Amino acid sequence: MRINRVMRIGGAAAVLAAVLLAGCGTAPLVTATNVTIPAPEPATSLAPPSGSPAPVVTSSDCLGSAPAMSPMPRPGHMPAGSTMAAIKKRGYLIAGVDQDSYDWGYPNPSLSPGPGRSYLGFDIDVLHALAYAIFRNADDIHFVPVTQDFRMGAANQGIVDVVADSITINCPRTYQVHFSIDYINAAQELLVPRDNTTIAVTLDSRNVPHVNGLAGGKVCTVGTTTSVQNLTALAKADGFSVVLAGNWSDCLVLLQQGDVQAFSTDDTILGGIEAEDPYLKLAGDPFSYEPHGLAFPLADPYSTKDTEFISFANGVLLALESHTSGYCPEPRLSSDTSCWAALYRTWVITAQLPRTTSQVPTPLFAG
Amino acid sequence: MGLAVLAAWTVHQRDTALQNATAAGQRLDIGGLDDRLYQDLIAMQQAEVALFQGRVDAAAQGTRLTDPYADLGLVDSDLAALKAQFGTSVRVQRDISLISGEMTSYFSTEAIAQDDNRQGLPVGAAYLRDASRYLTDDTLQTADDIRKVDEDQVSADDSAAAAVPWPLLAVAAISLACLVGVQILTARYTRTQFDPWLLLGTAATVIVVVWSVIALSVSLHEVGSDTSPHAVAAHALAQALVADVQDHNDDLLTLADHGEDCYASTSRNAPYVYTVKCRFETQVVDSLTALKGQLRADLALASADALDRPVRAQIGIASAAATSWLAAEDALPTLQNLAVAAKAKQEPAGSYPRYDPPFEKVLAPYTGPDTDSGTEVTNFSGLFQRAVNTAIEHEWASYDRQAGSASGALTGAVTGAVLLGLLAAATGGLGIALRVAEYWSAGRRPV
Repeated sequence: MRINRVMRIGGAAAVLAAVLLAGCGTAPLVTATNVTIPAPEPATSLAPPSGSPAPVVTSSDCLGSAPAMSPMPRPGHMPAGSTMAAIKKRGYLIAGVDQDSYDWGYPNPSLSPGPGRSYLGFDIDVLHALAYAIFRNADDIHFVPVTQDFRMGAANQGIVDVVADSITINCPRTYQVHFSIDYINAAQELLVPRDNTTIAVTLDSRNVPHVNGLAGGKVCTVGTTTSVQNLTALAKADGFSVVLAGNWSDCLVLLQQGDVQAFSTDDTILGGIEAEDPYLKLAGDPFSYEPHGLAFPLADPYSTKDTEFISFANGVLLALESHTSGYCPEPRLSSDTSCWAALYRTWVITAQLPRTTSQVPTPLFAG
Repeated sequence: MGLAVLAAWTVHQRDTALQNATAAGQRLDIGGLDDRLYQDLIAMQQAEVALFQGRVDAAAQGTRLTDPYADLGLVDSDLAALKAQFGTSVRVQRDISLISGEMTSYFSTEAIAQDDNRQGLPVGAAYLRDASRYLTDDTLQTADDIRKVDEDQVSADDSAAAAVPWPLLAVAAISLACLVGVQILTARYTRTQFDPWLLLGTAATVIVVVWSVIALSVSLHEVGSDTSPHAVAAHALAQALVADVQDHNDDLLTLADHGEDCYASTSRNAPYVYTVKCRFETQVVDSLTALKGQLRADLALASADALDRPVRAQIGIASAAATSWLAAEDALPTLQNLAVAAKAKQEPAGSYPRYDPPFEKVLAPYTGPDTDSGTEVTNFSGLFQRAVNTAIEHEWASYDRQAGSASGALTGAVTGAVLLGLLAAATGGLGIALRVAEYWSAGRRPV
């Protein structure tokens, strides 16, 4: 399994990762209790780093740290004065979603999808679970489609309650938003035409990635994603250039039209792209660690504890992973060990055939 | 006689130029061939966008949507008609071939977009954007080139009709000099001091010249002062109409795209400031903004050249519609507007806007099935289009009227010049013959 393979990449890399992320680690997480308190200056620049490619790491110091709420309130019965109660009073959850990521967040092609069903995908189902936990109705959601470069902004500016958009949890971003625990671990890969046999990513003995067969070529990715930062260093070392597009589909069009030779981002998203176009394939090894989490506004005026809603969401995510029965956005089969496994089977395995294995990966929850 | 023929030919050339200009103007007029081609191309794109939004086959939509292939048929027939009319223009033939070829690429891209969209694949939206970019950047530019050929034709014909007839004036001067010279010679070599026939011929020649010059001057004045400004204003209005249909198309794409054409930039340090710019929305707003916008600039140009009060009134209506249209852009559910509204809500109280009921109303069209948000901009665009259409029709009608008047005057001048020329030739010839006969019959006066 690809995700497990990333996890096996090595303990030595984790040590290097700790060194690399030391700057993040020393900066305190934002714990503002009121939005009028400005967030602290980030310890690291938000601009893409430059320099040599770094070894692939398998952990992060900046994963969501809020503990899961315990005990969880019963669905539809939110504690008075809580953010969840304010959302319940409003009548619907406002969620920022991707509309461009097949099998993760994309418009429902049905002609009359019904209220709260206008988008589909893994991320969308996570939001349905969150909505069910608040309202006892999974469809009480209003989706706000956001672009890749406005995901953080939609949360930071308080336009939405939560963003579920394959967001990689990393240290610089914790100055813009709060993160849940990671609910799926991805890794950056390279997508190329199926008949291409020359382009591939390999890891050397120090787990440093190298892109082969792409010298002088072009790789497309989306601006303001972590994919850009990973590719920038590789591009310099391996002699290719990075083309930035506005969203995933624009990259796919460029690849299909032959304007770029490869497309790179998280393998979760690339899996969806591969499902859209079966004449593409992932080439070589994964070369980054991308834990995905839900993003929340930094502080909330309706809560005395700004992490309360996040703890609640973490409780929902843990419930998805647990073996207990309960609400699940997708039908569970007897072979599904959890609701999370049912979501994974529905959206990821289906999308990424024939790359799948029979083993459902275990999400690596922090906290 | 030669002078009369030259005068008639000169006047006839100008008459022909005016008729050619009128014919080109008719192609440029609303409903004319050039206009039809442009409108049919835009209608085709709008049908594609509507189809994309409908997410279904055209057939399933009944009469609610137009099948883009029906528009393609119209485009093909427009191209065939243009091909027939511009048989000799290499530039237009090249443009027509280009558009025909581009239609293949455009429709194959649109077919991918619609097919992906029907399957629920997000990449369909990217192909829709790609097809739209192709149509705007390539095909519409080529169609615009055909329009420019006609606009250039009108300008060139207007210039030809209004040019000073130097060859005619030169030949007239030579002819008069010859006649005066003959008078002097006959007075010197015969007993007759004044030959009445020759004097009559000279007078007729003077009248031919004066007649022609007056007719041409009237024509020059009518073309320069009364006719050409209508064409110039009509050109500017046509450009405004082009800007209008492109802006409206961008509005439709904005709504269909749901923000996928937007780019956000973030300040480097906290507190973070997010600036969102959506490509299609920015294009519309820029175009509609006074001073810098293309649509506004075209309208101002048309207003400066418009001679008639009804046209100025229509331009006023169009200008007001553009102002309202610009205001309505703020209400469109785009990320750009949403970010601005959120920031405005956030700033006064420092609280998050999503609990604010008025902001939820702003958010509603963005989150739910949205059928109404495009209505307002569509209405203002329609109002603008109707006003400009009326103004263009009026301008070309005025142009035709003025050009017809100038042409009528010139036709009359041709007849008069020919008749007077015959008279001058006959009387001049008779006078000269009599004096030659007198000279050879010994009536010769000693030098």
